[in-house]
Formats: sequence, C-alpha cells, structure tokens
Amino acid sequence: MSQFKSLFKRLEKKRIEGLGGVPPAPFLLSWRPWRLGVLKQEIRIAKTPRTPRLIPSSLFPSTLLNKLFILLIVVLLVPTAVAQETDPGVTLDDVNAIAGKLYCPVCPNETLDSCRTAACAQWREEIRVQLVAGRTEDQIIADFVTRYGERVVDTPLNATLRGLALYTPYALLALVAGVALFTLLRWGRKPSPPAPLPHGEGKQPAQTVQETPSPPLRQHRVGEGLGVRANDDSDDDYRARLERDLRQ
Amino acid sequence: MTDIDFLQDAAPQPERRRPRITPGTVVLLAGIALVALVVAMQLARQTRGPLESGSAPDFSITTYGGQPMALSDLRGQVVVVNFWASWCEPCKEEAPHLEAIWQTYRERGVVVLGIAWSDVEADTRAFIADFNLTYPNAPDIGTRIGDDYLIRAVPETYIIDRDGQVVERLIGSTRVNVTYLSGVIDRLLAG
Repeated sequence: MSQFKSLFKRLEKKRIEGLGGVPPAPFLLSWRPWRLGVLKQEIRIAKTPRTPRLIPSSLFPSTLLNKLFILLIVVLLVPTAVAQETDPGVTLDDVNAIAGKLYCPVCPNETLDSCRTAACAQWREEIRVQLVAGRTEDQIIADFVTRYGERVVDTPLNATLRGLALYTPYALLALVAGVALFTLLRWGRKPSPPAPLPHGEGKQPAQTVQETPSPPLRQHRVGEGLGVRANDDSDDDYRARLERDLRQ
Repeated sequence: MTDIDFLQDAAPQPERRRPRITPGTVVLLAGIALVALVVAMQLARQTRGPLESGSAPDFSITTYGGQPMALSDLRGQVVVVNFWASWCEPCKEEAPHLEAIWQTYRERGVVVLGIAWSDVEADTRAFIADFNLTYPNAPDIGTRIGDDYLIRAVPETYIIDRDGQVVERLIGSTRVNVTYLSGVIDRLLAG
C-alpha cells in the first residue's frame, strides 16, 4: 500500500508539473485500487524523458507546435533586426516628411509623398538612401535642387528669391491696405473753414449783409466772395462798390 | 450790366485741382506694374510653343563615362537627342531602337545622345547596363537642358541636322523606332 501511495505521490507531482505548477483537484482522495492499470501507464509516461517546454503547455500542448511557434518568431524577427542594422532610425514617416516638401517631376503640383508614379517611388527611395547615409533634410533638399532644378521645391532656395516669393504678396497687401486707409481718412476729414479776415475787417461787411434783406443765394455769394478775397488789395474798393450798390 | 452781374464776376471761380502724383501713387503703380510683369512672363512661358523647329539650344554635358561633350561640337553631324528616364516605361521600348540606330549610323556622321531627365543616377546606370546602351548618355543636371527644350515629360526625342537646326520633335516612343528614324536620318544625310 505504501508503495502505491509513494507512486501516487510521484504521479501527482508529475501531473502538477505538467499543468504548469497549478495543482489539480485533490488526487489522492480519488484513487481507487481498480485504477492500478491506469496509474501504471501514467507512471510510465511520467518516467519518460521529455523535451523542455519553452512555452507553457497550457498555451501549446504539443512540443512540435512550440517549435513551429519559435521558428515563426525567429523568421519574423530576423528581417527586422537586419533592417534595423541597415536603416538606423529611418522610418517611412522620416522619408515622407521630406518627400512632402518635394514635387513630382511629371505630375503638376503633386508632392512626392502622395504621388504614385514610378518616378516618385524612385525619388522617395533616394531620400531614404540619403537619410540612411546620415544626410540632413536641408542637405537632401539641396541635393535634389542641384540635380533636378528649383522646380522640385515649392519655394526657391536662394534667400533673395525666397524672400521675394514669400513676402511680396504680403507686402503688396499691406501697401494696398495702407493706401485704402489713407484715402478713407482723407475722405472723412472735414473741409477747413475759410480763413479769417485780418484786423476783424470781415465782421463789418458780414453785418451789413445780414441787415440787408437779400435773398439767401445773394447773401451766400456776397459772404463767400468777401471771405475769399480778404487778402486782396482791392478789397476796400470792392466793398465800397458793393455797399453802394446794395443801398440803391 | 446789372447789379447781379458784377457780383457774379466777382465770385471766385473754383480752383481746378491738378492731379497730384504722390509717392504712394508711385509705389502703387510700380507694384501693379511688377505684378503685371510677373503674370505676363508666366503666361509667355506657359504659352511658349514647343521646340518644333529652329536652332537647337546648345548644351554641355559630361557623360556617365566621364567624357565632356557639347552639342555645338557636333555641328556637321546629325544628332539624335533622346530625353529619357529609368522610371519611364516607353523609354524601355525605344532604348533598343536607339542603340540599333547608333550602331548602324555611328560611322556615317550620326550621334545619338541620351539625356537622363529627372532620374536617380544608380537607376540610370542600371538601365544603361540592362539595355547594353553604348551611345553616350549623360544626366541633365538641374534639368537645365530639359528646360531649354521645354521638356514636360519623357520620352522626347529631337533630331537635329548638320546645321544645328531641329528637324523633328518626337513625343513618346511611337515613332522612335529603327524604321522611322532611319528614314529621317537617311534624308538628312542625303541632303
């Protein structure tokens, strides 16, 4: 009996190991003598040397599947590792960041990152190659301009031309706004009153005119004429003639 | 003369305002003229007709083999200038024909020049090797030659006579074959 018990204990230990260390339901309490054949078979299995499991048997009960899984991981990881060795830190986003600033040689107004032509694919690959070689964005763009002309960029690289291209529209806009503002201010300015007559001479004729029962048009014209001619030397003569005429 | 007449005579005439030219007006006019000039230049450039005839623009190149050449140095020979690129599918169709023309006529005063337009050098060299091209090929640095010849896309082929005049402009690869090119070249050599 004690031999059976020790066998069952070993068997239980093996079963627990086979289940990844999780103890099953109490085993010893459920054993029965008529299960001896089954127990012997289980003991035989337990004594059979087994290959070590890298993956818990709860995930992959078969060791073959384990091996296939490991092989799959290796197959997937090796190219990535190789690519990382050749393209240190160069991603598709890095390439597209530069490609978005360059234009397709054949499609009008289409940047390299969105163009699907073979030419753009080649140029994107060229950008990637230069990034891998350690070139900066400015160096790559400058190289493209040297090789393919200014039309590959949206604005000229020359500082003067670039300034003209970027700021001329704004300068023109500011100029037009300035002229419009100046014109509006001039229109809104009130007309200046007529210059006052020297030595208060202007008051006397104005009073004279007001005393005279003249039509409004005449009164206005007289006053206006006097105001404008205030500095004229012939004012006195003119005024005398005017008063004399009005008295008649 | 009535009393009102002399008053009317005495009334001051409104002064005529002379149109004044202020600095602002000058600047505004200059700005408008500048914009008009730029627009006119762009329009003229866009509406400039293709180079169908007339004197062929001169250019200097350095071939992939390192040999410097200039079109003007080839005066007295018939020159076939072919603009191409490795990413251009029709260029692959016409390349063998151009090589055949070069092999047939190179001893009779005909030069075939390949100008790689907007191409990556490594791919250009691979293309030359793939098609076993032996005629001179060179990159169009800065696409200056293409701009002079108003190239919008490739392939384009120009046939230039012995006097440096453009005789034919072939767009695409349809007519760039041994039969057609031989006909044109024979005519030019005979003339």
